[in-house]
Amino acid sequence: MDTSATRAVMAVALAVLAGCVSDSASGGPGGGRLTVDAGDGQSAPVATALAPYSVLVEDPDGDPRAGVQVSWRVVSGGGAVVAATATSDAAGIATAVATLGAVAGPQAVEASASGFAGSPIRFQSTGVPGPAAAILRVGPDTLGGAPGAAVASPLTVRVTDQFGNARAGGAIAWQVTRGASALTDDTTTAPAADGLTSVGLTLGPAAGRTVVRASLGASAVQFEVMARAPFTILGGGGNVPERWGSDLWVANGYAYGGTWGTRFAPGNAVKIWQLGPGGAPTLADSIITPGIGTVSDIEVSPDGKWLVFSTEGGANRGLYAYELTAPGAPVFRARALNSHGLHTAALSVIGGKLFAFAAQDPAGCALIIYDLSAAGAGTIAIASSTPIPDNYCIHDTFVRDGYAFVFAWNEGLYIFDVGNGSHGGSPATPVQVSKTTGFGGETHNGWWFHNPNTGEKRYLFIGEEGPGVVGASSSGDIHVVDVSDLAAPREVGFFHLPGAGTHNFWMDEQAERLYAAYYNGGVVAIDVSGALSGDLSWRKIAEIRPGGGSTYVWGVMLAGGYLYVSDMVSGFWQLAVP
Amino acid sequence: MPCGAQEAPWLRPAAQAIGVVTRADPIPGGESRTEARIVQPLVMLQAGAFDHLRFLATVNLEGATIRDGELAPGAWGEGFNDRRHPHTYAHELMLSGIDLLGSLDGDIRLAVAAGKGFAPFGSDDPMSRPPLRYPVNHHLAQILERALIMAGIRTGPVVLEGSVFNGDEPERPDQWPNMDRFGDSWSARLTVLPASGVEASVSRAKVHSPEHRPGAGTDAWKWHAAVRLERVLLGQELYGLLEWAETEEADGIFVFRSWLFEAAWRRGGHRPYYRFEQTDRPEDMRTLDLFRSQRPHLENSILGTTRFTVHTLGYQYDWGAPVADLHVSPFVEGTVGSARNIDGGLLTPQILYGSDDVGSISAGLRINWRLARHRMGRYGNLLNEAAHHGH
Repeated sequence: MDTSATRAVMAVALAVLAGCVSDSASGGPGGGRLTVDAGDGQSAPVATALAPYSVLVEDPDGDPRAGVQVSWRVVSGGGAVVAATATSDAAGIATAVATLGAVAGPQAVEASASGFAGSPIRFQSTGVPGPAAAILRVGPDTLGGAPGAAVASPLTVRVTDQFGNARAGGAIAWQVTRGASALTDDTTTAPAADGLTSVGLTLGPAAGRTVVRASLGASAVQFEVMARAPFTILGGGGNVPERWGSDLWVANGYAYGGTWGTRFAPGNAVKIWQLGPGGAPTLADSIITPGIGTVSDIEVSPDGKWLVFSTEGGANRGLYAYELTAPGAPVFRARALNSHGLHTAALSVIGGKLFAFAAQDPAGCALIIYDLSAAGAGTIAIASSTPIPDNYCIHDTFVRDGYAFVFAWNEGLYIFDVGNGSHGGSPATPVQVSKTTGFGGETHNGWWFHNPNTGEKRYLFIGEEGPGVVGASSSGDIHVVDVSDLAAPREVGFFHLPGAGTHNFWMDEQAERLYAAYYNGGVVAIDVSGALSGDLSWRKIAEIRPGGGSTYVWGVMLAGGYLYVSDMVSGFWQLAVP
Repeated sequence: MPCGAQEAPWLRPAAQAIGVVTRADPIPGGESRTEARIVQPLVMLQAGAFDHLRFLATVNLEGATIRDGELAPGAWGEGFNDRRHPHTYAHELMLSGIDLLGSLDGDIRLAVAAGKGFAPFGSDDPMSRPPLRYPVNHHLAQILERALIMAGIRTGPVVLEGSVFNGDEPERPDQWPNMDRFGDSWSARLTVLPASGVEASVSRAKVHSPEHRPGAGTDAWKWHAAVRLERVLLGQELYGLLEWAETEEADGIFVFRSWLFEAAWRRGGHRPYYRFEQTDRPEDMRTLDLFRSQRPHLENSILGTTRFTVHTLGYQYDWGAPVADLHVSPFVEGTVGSARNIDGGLLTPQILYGSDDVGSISAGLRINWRLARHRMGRYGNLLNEAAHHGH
């Protein structure tokens, strides 16, 4: 083959080969060039589509080259390209549509065509936060401080788009929805570039719970801030050295305190304390009941005319009724002996009659309802006796609105209609509404909270009395039970005090505050306003161990604005509440 | 099965009673008290037949002689404090099958037993040990008067026993175990006998609600370990016991521990003995009678833990040769020690006794008719070297 012929064949072969390569892949012999056509450097809200990215494909002569396949891929920043490849058109343009990722910030997309100079090409765009969609609380779930003081940490929120990208701008509205606390900044603030915005808060003068609401449109968060202040000891203490104390009741300017077990003398005394003008207790007298070992529960009737106490141990155990014509000098009128002993007795007026709901314990477990209407004539009659399975028996009963809440240790909670009428019950014929176990077991006592501010009767506080060494240690939490449906109580929250267990309660319902005796933990005040759920430990307002290392508090009662405390070891106390 | 003639049925009665005068100082309330009592009055009947069958009945009459217990500083259990409680009339009532497979299993000995008695746990009942006085750790180191089924196996020097029983403690002498609760508790004991007269044992038990008969109380998890010696050396009888016990209740909120060592030596008719003990006792809610505590308990709480550290020294003289199998042994025994609260509970020795010191002295006469070395709490004839020598 001559040289010219050879050249011709080679030229045809190269041309065919070039055409084949061009048809099957990008570039080709002699290549070409890939350059940015459009789309680089865009900025758009996250997770939205960008204007198309495009590249220009040229041959080595700088002419547009059609039919070249260009590959597209996301290199960084998330997001996606709609099609992974595109073919250059007659103008040499290959395009791709890309969507930004959900995270604000730079995004890189790469275009490449094999054998072309300039390949790969990187497009840079920026995803910016989308419209404000959420407001989040920053920092701890709950805060605390002293009444009247600024909260140490400002209340801070972060505004984000729907993908959690911090977003600047917008107006956050701040509002104190509970408590007399005040915001120290504007009630409207704007988030900075990091989405954060804060306000300061100065707590109101009273201890208790403050709620601050931060809102952005329909999105809102709440800050719970507890103003904590201490109890103050006003009087008492060290005043029952010969006996161990038990329950208490305050009425008519006097306080009545029971005694328990045998210290240097048996627990057969009811101490009568006269309360001075400032509420300070001074021992005025004692009732000594022979043949008993413990005054286990003590209460004054709602009309203030009767002092009733239950007793255990000894041949004369049972229920005792004293008339309070002169509150400082109770007069014995009647007793009902009970061979098993009565662990507690709760008074309630039903149908105009005074009844005592007594826990027969520790054997022959039963709810004994005594009719005290004839006590003045020396008679206490049994209206009914309702056996309870022996699982450490009943420990306490709370009666309200004609319902008896019976706290029966590992048997759990019984609710009886004893005069409400909802189930046809009466003191003579209690009708069981429900029986519920749980609440940590060792179900000991309770209080059905009627909130006068909201009208709710939703919560029952239950005390769990766990194992302990009397005088030294104790265990057991307060369980918050939703009794909206009395037939199906369910626990919704709890309060735990480390190193101690709870015993008897008292409530300041107007102030939405629960006072709990906590044995070696002393006395605890808990804010129970609003909705209650989960761990309520942060709601503790104050605690005190009035006897110091000799503290083992049995019970508390609020009267005349003071909290009276019966400590088994350190005696009878008067406290100012926070 | 073994070859040869089968064992003919046999019956062996025995009896014991101890007359004792005890002075304890102090007692709860701070006074002292002296009492004379008949204690540990027993009538025992042992029987056997067919090589493999054993029956044991021990009637304890303390319900009649010491219904209010026996003065014993530190003692506790079954509602008694500083008084050792009376045992139930039916102290032991056990039917045992011993070496059940005879020679079929070679040297292995298999035994089962059922009835009322001691669960295989801990050491021998104090009634079958030298001192008269019960140790403070009686309810830490023994589990007694239960309805039980036990099985045991011995191979070489190793004995393994296990049982199931009812967890409830008796509340009075005439009370039977709560059969509704049978099987709610268990125990196991491993004993090794490395040399003649020498034993080492480890026991573990779970006792459900021992203090609350219906069963609502907390569980007691118990450990016990002991080394015991009883052998003749140079013509003198030696006895020694070193034991450690621990009972944990309420998920570890209450833990009671005990160390005890006791030894006795007999030469001729003379038998001096000594015991050292350091044991923790729970203090329960007392009734108006300070020797008694509330039963059943009202709560899962105690009023404190008292650690008793006590020494007991005694001397017994076995008087001459027995007449008509009757052994008469006068003795004198004294206990001194201390009590202190270890957990800050309300009921401290100072409040209870007005003192941290405790003590007692006893003198009396032990009368024994054919009651020889019965080790209460060991059934199935597994400790004896030979298979059928355990009458």
